[in-house]
Amino acid sequence: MDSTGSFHYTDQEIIEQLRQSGSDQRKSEEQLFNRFAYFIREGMTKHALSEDESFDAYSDTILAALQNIKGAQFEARASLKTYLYQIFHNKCVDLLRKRTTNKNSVHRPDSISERLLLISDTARSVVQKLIDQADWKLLREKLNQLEEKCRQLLLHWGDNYSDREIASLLQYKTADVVKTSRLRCMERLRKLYKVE
Amino acid sequence: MENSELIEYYFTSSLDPGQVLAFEKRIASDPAFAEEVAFYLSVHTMAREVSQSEKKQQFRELYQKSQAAVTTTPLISIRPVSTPSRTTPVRKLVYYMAAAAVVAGISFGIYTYVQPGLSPQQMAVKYEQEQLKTLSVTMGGGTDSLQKGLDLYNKNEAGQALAIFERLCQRDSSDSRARLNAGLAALRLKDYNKALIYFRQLETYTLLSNPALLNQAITLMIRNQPGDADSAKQLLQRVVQKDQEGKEDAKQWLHDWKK
Repeated sequence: MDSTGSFHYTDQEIIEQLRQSGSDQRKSEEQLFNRFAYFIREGMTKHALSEDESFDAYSDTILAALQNIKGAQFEARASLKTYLYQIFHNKCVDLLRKRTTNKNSVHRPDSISERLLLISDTARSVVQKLIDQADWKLLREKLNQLEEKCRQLLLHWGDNYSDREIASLLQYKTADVVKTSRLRCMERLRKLYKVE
Repeated sequence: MENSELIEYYFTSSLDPGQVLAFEKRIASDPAFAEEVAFYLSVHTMAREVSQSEKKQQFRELYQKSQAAVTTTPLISIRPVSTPSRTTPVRKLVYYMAAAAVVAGISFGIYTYVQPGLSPQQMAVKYEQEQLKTLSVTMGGGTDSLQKGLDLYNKNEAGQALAIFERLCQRDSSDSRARLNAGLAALRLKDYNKALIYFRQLETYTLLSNPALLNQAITLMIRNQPGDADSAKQLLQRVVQKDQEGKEDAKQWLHDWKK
């Protein structure tokens, strides 16, 4: 057991657990978080960040790593520790830069969906303009007003889970049912958003 | 087909090239349709944002719980960040020992780096990890999409980068750089067959400098299936004979191969 009271898993075991999309996923994510949580203190001493800032950098590191591990972009060429520390270091530097340029936006997301990049340049600029006009605060509010299953479905989709994975996580019969339900949820959200 | 379904098919790359072109033209000419596409992407963005902030909250609770378990004193008060610390003789000794360890480590590293006898697969993996880890984003400008793709590749998001490069390949059959980068992204994803397809396509382009043969050789060396090593060797010999990009590396590998 380590200092946080959890058993010490090898890198490979952690990665395998994270790639299994079952109900234990949350536990695996927490194990990963706990394992390197001492980075938070390093952010405070090495980068002179506050505890809150260092926590932000570390939790963003874990979220980015989770996406890469689940999306198979992480190839385990380096140890998990080296890999995570590299991301963490970059996040700390970004945070310091953000702090000095004071570019904090309250409601706007940090980055727009990577799917935008799939659109050709000319058409993308049209869509980008429309996205820039979105009322993010209202959209978040309306998303949270959806019935829980619908909301969860969209959140998992936002996290880039496949419809098949969502079907297993949220107990839908098939991936096709997930797709149809998701489009219906989007339509419901659209109506809520447009009513305002 | 309803618009929502069409948008879904577009973003899951389920449309054929003609439909993709029509879709993109429609964005430019039909404001209501463009607005639907923007909404789809905005929801995807916001869903991720909300999901991540919920996970962050879950981590915060976990962290606070672990802090409470370790000590009742707030972490921040353990030692102020700016407090200067005196270096004791014992500490100095630790630094000297650490410095000695670093020197020993570097010497060992140099020894292992120059040590001959790597297998062809190891040579290629080493090359891929060192030379193809990042691609130049600014070189030669290029479209926004190409730059974004390169940026994603450099952030180790080869899957998303590949999707962009493939889209560029579909859109413009003369785009050699999209093919090269699609091959490299596929190689990073260990999709060797796909990488070989793109590098073979690249070989047909007349370019001042064309790394197609070298990259095919690297892919085969890494894949290392029966017959791959021989084919890779022949490709490297062609690189040297034709004085193509990567000639010096090819020469060195062929030399080491004989050992």
